[in-house]
Formats: sequence, structure tokens, C-alpha cells
Amino acid sequence: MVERVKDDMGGAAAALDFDAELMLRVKEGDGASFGVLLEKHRSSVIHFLYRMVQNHAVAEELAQEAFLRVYRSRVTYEPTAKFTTWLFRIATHLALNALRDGKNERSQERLDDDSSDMPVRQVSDLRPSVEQSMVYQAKLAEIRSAIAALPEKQRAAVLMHKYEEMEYSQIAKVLGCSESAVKSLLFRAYETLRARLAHMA
Amino acid sequence: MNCLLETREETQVLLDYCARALSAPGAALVEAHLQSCPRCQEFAAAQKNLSEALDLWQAPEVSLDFNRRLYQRIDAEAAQGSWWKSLLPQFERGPFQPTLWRRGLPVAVAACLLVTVGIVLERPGKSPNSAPKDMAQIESIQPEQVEQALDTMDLLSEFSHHVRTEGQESKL
Repeated sequence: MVERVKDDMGGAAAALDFDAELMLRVKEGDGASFGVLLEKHRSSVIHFLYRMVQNHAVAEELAQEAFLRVYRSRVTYEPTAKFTTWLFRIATHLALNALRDGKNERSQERLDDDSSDMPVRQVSDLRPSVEQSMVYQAKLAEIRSAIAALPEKQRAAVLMHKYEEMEYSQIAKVLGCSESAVKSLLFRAYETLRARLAHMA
Repeated sequence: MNCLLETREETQVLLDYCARALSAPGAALVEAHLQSCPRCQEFAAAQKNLSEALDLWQAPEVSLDFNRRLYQRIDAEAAQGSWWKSLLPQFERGPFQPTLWRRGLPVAVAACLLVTVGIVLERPGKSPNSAPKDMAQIESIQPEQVEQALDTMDLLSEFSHHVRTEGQESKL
């Protein structure tokens, strides 16, 4: 029933990935192509990392490291996988390491880190009241807490599926597991989240 | 169609429908099923609510100086790399040419081994030429002690001569 485009890159198929082509140009010394890749994927990587570690400064620091690793690897780069799969694999690895290394140190920062979570209103005459703002902040805290409570791999899978709209096959490659394992991770994660956030309906 | 919540595979189809990941014909099939299955309707509604709740969580804007900081780090690494690269040709020129290195290396290793063996053999505790204890004692005798010893020997010989003379006189 589900029609998913297979992103199994290899050989000639890799040539279809524009990002991989850009990366090959970076390999040949074209710095501008790296700039294009950075502009294209910067936000999604930072947003993913932000939702993983729930700290804006740490997320940007990790994103810097991720792009730096991409740049460092340009010489040995081979387009054996989709570029974004590779990029998110690096980012996920960094995020999981950061969570394992500084879990306790950052738990307090998370609570203190408001990070301007309030979305910018598009309609200027509909400013949120104090009450609305408080309700929104309370909901947001619950969502963040529910996501943070998920096991690391479930969290990563949900964030890539929900916010980055990645396919199962790509999430599987990023996390280094099978597609069925990803489906299982997502099934359990959404089940937990539905139960925890049911009252928000 | 049976309730999609009966098996995990079919529940997955329902999840895909909620994530709008199904093709148009697939979505139409699920929608038709939802009309007649309250359990699946309830599940789909809960998943939709969850999805809307998660949409509330907007990530903050990227810092304006993100690119600048990244390029600074890249430049710093490049400068560090070029410093090493600038040294490399110096080593590969003149006496440091790779072929000379390859030829000279065994000689250098042999020289090091010889020096090491020499140091081990010359260690004071293990030296075969080390002086015995009595020789050291002789070397430490002072000239006055020798003179005293000679004087004592003279006295002894005089004394023995005197004793012998007295003995002969008493016999007579």
C-alpha cells in the first residue's frame, strides 16, 4: 500500500543525488558548493539537534561539529549513500554522544533554556494574551518533557519521521538498523506519546 | 476489511495514513475503512491530535553568526594544516630526501644499538676492570705510616741483635 521511494544509493544511482554531486565538487576543491550544502541543510540539522538535546547553544555547537566533519571528510568522500543520510548519521551520532556524556549537566540547562520557543505570530493584531502564552508554555513544556523521556533511539526516530519527514529506509540507515526496527521504534514511541499527551486534545 | 488495529503491520498502515505517507489509492482504502470502524477512527483522531501537539514545538531560529563561526573553524584548521604542509617539503629536500632516509635508517639503527651496548658494558658496577678491595686499601696508605713501619722494623732488628749478644755473653 505504501509507496516509498527507495533511496538505496549506489553506483550510478548516486549521481541522481544533487547533494552528492555538490559534495563531489567540494572534494575537487569547490568551496562554494560546500556553502550551498550548508545553506540547504543547516536549519534541518540544527532543528533536529535542538529537539534531540533541547538546548539551542549545544545544538548549534553540535551542528558546527557535524558540518566540520563533513568538510574534513571531503577528500575521502564517496557517494555510497544519500548525502542527507550521511549528514544525519553524523548529527545523530554527535547528539547521542552529547546526551550520554553530559546528560546530568544539561538537564538543568534544558529547564532554563527558553530559547524563544514561542512562535512568531503572523497576524500582527492577534497578540497572545498572558493566559494564552502561559497555556502555550505549559503545553510546550509537556511536549518537550514527553519527547525527552523517550529512549534515545525512539526519540531520534520520531524527530526524523515527524519533523524531518524522512522515510523509514532513510531513518534505518541513519540509525544503522533495519526498516522493521524503525517501524517498531516509531510504533512504541508514538504509543507512549499518545498516552502522555492525550489530555492535550 | 478487518479492524486495522488487529495487527501491528496494519496499525502501521494507519500510522502512515495519519502521517500522509500513503499513496492516493491507499489513503482512499483507509478512509473507506474508517467510515465503518470506530476503533480505527478513535486511533486516527488520537494520532492526529498528537501530530498537532508536536507541531506546536517550533525550533528557534539559527544564530546569524553560525556560518561565520563555522568558516572561522574551517579556516583555523586549514591554517594549521598548511603549517604542517609547509614543513613537509623542507624535510623532503636535501639530506632529508625519502630515498636517503630509507638508506640511512638501517645505519642509524645499527649505530644506536652499538652505543646502547657500549653504555651497558661501561656501567661501573659491571666493569671487568674494576680494582679489588685490597688494592684500594694499599692506595690509601700514607707515607708517614710507611716511615713508622720502617722505624719499627729497625727497632726490632736492633732489639734482636741486642738479645743475641747478651745471650752469647752469658754463655761465656
